[in-house]
Amino acid sequence: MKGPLLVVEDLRCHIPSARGTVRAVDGVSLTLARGQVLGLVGESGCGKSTLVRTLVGAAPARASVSGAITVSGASLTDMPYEARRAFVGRHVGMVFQDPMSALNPVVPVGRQIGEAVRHHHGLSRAAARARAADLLEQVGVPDPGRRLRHYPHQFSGGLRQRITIAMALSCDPELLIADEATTALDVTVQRQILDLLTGLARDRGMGLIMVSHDLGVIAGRADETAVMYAGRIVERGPTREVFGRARHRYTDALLGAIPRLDAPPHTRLRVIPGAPPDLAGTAPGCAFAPRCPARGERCESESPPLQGESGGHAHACFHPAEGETT
Amino acid sequence: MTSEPPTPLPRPEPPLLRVENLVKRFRVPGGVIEAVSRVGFTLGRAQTLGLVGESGCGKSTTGRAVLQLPPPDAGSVRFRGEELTALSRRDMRRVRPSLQIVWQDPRSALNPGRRVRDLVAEGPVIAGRPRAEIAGRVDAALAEVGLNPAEVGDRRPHEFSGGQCQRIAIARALVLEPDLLVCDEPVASLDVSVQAQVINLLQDVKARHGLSLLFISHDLGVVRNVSDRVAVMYLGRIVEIGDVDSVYGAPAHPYTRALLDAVPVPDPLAPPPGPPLKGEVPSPLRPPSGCRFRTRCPLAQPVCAEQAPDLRPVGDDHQVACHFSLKESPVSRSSAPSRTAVQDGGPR
Repeated sequence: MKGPLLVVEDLRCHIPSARGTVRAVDGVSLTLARGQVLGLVGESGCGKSTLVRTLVGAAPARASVSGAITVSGASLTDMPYEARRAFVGRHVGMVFQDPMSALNPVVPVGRQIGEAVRHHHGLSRAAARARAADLLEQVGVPDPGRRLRHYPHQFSGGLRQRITIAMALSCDPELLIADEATTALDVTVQRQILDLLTGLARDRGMGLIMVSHDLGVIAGRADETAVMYAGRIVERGPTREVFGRARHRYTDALLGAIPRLDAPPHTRLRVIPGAPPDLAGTAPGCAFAPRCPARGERCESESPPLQGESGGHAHACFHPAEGETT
Repeated sequence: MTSEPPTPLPRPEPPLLRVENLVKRFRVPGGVIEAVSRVGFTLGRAQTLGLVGESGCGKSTTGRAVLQLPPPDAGSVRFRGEELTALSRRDMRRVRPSLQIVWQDPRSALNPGRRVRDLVAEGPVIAGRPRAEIAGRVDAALAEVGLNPAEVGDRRPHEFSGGQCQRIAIARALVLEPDLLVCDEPVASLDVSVQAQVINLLQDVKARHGLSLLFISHDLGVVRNVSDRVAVMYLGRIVEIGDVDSVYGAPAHPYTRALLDAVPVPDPLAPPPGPPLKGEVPSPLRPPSGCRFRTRCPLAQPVCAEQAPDLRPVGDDHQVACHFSLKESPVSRSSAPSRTAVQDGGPR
């Protein structure tokens, strides 16, 4: 029974649109063990949010989804809708970017936190309330007993995000997904929330997927990193490997484009020409080819598969970078 | 990292921009917020001053008050020797072309119904530049930001990506040949790969035209890359200001230190940073007495609640507003006439 917590195989989520089918997720496979932190990084529109939404069964209604998702050995993709909903509710917690839109503004936070346990585990009102207070304490909200009765607008941005984390934890999930959970926060508060998330994952032995556009957020916290571009994972591996020996040309270029704190002022940034592709297009070949400094003929006609190397470091590139340590 | 006094450049001319005791208040439900509280700094020609801080610290309001958009409630803004706060509307209109701004969200800054060519021409037309000149200048400005005028001139903003829209916005500013460009979070809404393009572009145009930039951003990495000098703001005040290498290399204010420590570094092998700050920024409606940072400060003492620290020099072109600064260096060479309440020590 000690298999991986999460196994995703060849997941696709294609969304019909007026401009053609948007291949938001286009053949993603990944695994995550208990107690592990996976960083999922990519720029806007790369499909990272659609990927995690598809994982929890919240893909857009019109989308056609294929592939296999297994959580704790149970195949989500084979479950009927209601069973899947109940299963995900009990086993997976999710934290979103904007706590204000994740919280109901006219319901006291205590009731919102207790709602899921009452629904999924049939707790009484009083028991749910005690549980909510306990959770608020765990996520570092001061004076939890009193704060239960407060409404979301009475909290600061950082505390609101702590409340949504308490909600996500209420059913003791095995898998926690944080989708840009700190993007809306200031850096000093971001740091507190990141510490909280990784600490909780470690203490509870949860699997944690951290989705972010910010390579810095991922670098210091994730055991494994997966880089997404145009609906696919283009590179993945142990975080040190991916950051220290980036093989895919996109990862490599992205790392060079970040203004670094330790670089002298006016350091010329490496530029990635052009812009990310429109996912409604159906051009063959590698999606990064039009922006790639190393593209060859093959890149324009053939889509490179994700190939493993030693140590679980895989990349989808025909002309990989040398992967020099920076 | 180097922290020691950078060789001061000889700078005979007065600064392009000198801001003193700037105050901007807003009436909100529940009271009055002093969003900018006695802020002062100078900006030399062809220099970039980074203005950095977390949301609500007053950095954007400062940038806008400098441009008189809207005018500040108190204080002085001296631009090329002219006191902007005292100018009539007509005189302000005369100066405006020299003071341009690039906003965070280029899409909402560009009128969606107009063609790119007309968008860029708008400023010169309003400024009453000769018609015959305008078309050529517009083409030159577009070319300068890396857009082909023949290709993009007749298109409208929605046909462009966020990065391209920001280029158009920069062209709109450049076409007026400004002396000062205020950049208010110009890359915050852009992806990393596109952000680098826009940063490099701003650096290029600055160098080519000898522009001065007031660069407002919450991103400490970006600010370090573009700035010569940097001012760190907290709850409406400048807590530290100086040469970018000194401030980043040897931060003297505990807030600056914590801010730098909190930046997620894209390096898994980076050493663990110092202890995190507790809590969040207090409400600006009821800022703490004395030093506004004291409620979160690891060094706070009773005096911090009683007395607001003023900026004082801790090095050449490095000032801090803290009773217990992290960098207690003997005041070297900064016996320069400290006759005014100017809260800035630009050594010039």
